[in-house]
Amino acid sequence: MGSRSLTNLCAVVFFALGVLAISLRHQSRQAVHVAETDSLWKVTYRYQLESGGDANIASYVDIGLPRETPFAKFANEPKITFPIELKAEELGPFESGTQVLRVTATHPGKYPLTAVFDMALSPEVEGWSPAMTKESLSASDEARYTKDEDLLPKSSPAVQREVRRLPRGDGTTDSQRLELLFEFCRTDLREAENDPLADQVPNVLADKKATPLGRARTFVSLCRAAGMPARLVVGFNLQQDRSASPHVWSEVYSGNRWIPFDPEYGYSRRMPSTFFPVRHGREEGEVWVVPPSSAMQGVMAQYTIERMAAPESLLTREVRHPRQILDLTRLPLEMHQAMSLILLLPFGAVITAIFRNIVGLKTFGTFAPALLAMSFIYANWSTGIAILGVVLTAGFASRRFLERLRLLMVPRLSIVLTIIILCIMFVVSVLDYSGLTPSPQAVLLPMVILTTLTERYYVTSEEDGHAFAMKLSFGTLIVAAMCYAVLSWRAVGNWILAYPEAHFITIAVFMVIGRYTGYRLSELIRFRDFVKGQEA
Amino acid sequence: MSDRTNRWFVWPDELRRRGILGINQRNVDYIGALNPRLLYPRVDNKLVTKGICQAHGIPVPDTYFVLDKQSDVTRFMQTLGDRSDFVCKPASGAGGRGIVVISSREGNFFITPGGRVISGGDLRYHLATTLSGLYSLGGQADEVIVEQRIVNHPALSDIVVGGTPDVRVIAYRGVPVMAMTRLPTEASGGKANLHQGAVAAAVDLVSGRTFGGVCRDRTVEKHPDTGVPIIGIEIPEWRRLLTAAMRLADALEMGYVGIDFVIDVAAGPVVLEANARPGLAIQLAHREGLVPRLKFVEERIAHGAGHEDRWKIIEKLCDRFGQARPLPVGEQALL
Repeated sequence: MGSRSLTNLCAVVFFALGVLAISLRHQSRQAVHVAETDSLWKVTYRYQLESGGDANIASYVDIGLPRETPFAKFANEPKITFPIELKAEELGPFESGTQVLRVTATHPGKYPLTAVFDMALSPEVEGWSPAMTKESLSASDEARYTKDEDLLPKSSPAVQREVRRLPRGDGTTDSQRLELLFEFCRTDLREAENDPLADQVPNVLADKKATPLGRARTFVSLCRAAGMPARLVVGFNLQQDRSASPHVWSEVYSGNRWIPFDPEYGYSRRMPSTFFPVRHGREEGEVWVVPPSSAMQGVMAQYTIERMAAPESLLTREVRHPRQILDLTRLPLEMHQAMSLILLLPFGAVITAIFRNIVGLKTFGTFAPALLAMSFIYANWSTGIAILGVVLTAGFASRRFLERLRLLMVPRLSIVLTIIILCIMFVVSVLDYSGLTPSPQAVLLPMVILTTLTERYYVTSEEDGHAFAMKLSFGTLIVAAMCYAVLSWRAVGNWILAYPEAHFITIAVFMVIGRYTGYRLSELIRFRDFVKGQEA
Repeated sequence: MSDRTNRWFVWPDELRRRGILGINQRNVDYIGALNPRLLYPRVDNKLVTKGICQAHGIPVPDTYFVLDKQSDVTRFMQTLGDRSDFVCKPASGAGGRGIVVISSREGNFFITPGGRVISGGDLRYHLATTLSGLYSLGGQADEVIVEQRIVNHPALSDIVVGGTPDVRVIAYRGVPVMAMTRLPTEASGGKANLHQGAVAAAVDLVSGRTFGGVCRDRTVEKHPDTGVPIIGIEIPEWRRLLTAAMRLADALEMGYVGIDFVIDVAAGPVVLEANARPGLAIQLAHREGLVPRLKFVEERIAHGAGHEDRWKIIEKLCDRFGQARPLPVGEQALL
């Protein structure tokens, strides 16, 4: 295998490795994140059923079962317990999506029924949006959800009066009318506590006060009267509650989907992830319904919602395991800045490689610009500039003087360094005197790099002339500035600390640049005489 | 036509059509592929190069003595004796840096061909800094070669302002593919180094006659200082020079080298140094890209081909690519 195809292979392998490692780590991070935000809930229905005295008429009740949402899913099969005198069968799902448990009493009497649902709540579901839940509305459904019902009297004079106040005509939209109705139900109706009358739409509109159920019914009635299909939704909010009552909100069909509106809590267009529905479309606004043909005499319902303990795996995550070595974010926080800066250095090298091999810019030393940029990140701007000025003047002046002493290189360089150190210390003292104390590493790093750069500049300008030395300085400054821009980018620094395996991809990039045999940009200028006219 | 005469840049495609070798391609496809890293000391250290030349009967300037420690500098005057005509050269220097040429002497004062006077103390300081690595690659401790000064052959001395002109031959798989003569200028400070401002003229491989020309990456035909034409000069003992280049390329075992000669009035062509990373301005001097020539040789050279075979390839090469033709324009590209 030729070295070129071997390099290509390696580059592809490293790239794939990087992508794989990043995605694996991302997935495991996501799993931990989900485990942290997830919760398990236990929803319990406790029913007391009293069947009618006449054994010839069937005595049954339809109890709505919780429905899964993108966020709330069943963790286990529901556990339903009841005495043998009761029969239970699941019906549905109906067109509205509702599923019910039809419980039939075979003998007259009082019977308990308990249903326990374990729900897993994941509030952070990726890739789901309400816009995805589009569904069509059949003609019969449309008729059903716009009809006049006893408890949703869309044709009552009070409802019609409210709807007539809505703006009509060109330039007004259903969305605007919907929002006005929602605002009316939200804000224009006062609270009524446990007043059965305030459940009824005509009373609500007359007294301007409503229970949560009355509020939702009013909204649905008004929407229907305004020509928009609407329905009630009964469900629960997953929060610890020893005597929970079902919550009622409403849904309006618009833009090919059912859009939730909760005039009680004010949610619209998207219910919080903790809410799950039980039934849709019934005017009663209850979890259970006794159909008219049933002889069931009494239904007592109690609901409890309890939070369950977090899974053991989440609680034992901090147990020491060699796997944790791979996680750099586990390191003490005060190490993070230095670590991420070091991890960013390869990106500085990428910039250097691009400028040298593709642009063709010459610099002093290979990694000097990147190191210079790094040292300037430790220093803040004012100290950085102060140190730059001091090092350049002191370094150049002392270098010029030392040239006459004819010293060997290392001792000469050391004298320059010593003089620069002395100057910088007094500059620090001056800064401190005027109330601006720089941190020690702000002083240390730039000094050493700048000292060697000063020497290089001096030798280059002696050997190859000032013009060439200036050219190199220019290139060094450009590359250093680019490196500074990348290295000082905190978001990238935090990211690379979380995903250091991204440097597999960096290595792949280096391999590609390393086999780049095209012209450098500088050569397009250097060889321009090749297109000079014939007279050349 | 006017839009292509004064452009300050050239499109990559235009360079590619002319077969111009870029730095990246040179590094990856030629240097990286043909010059084993292990052999670099053969060219990076002039003492090693010289040793190889002497072992293969290739003429080099006589070595008088070598300084390799600071105490040698102290004894420099005694070792030198009464020599008044010599060159001090760092063994690992690059680009002609650190070379001091002395052509005459008055007691403890040394005089360069350009007339600059250097005191014995100054010279010793220079030698000491050279030993400590000022001019060496990577700043490592170095050695100083004190050797015979080359006296320019009269054929070249007429067009030279100061310093010594040299001849650079690029040998690919042992076959010379391009050659140029590099002439010092005022700007280059007597050094025959193109990036320091020396001027160069291409040399026809068969006739040894100069044509074309380049200075600071611009095409020229006259010496920038004197205005004397640099084309049509015949390099003395050309065949001997190219034979030596072939022999040294074989001895170095490098597939892509630049070999630098100087032409001494008495000794003829002698090898000064070899370079594993020869520059690319030679293409501008030829007004022609290297790639077609390299491909031409690659298709014809057999492993272990003798000098006669190589001469045939060189003749065909010159026939095919010729010399001093005007720059191809537009569709009349070379390839």
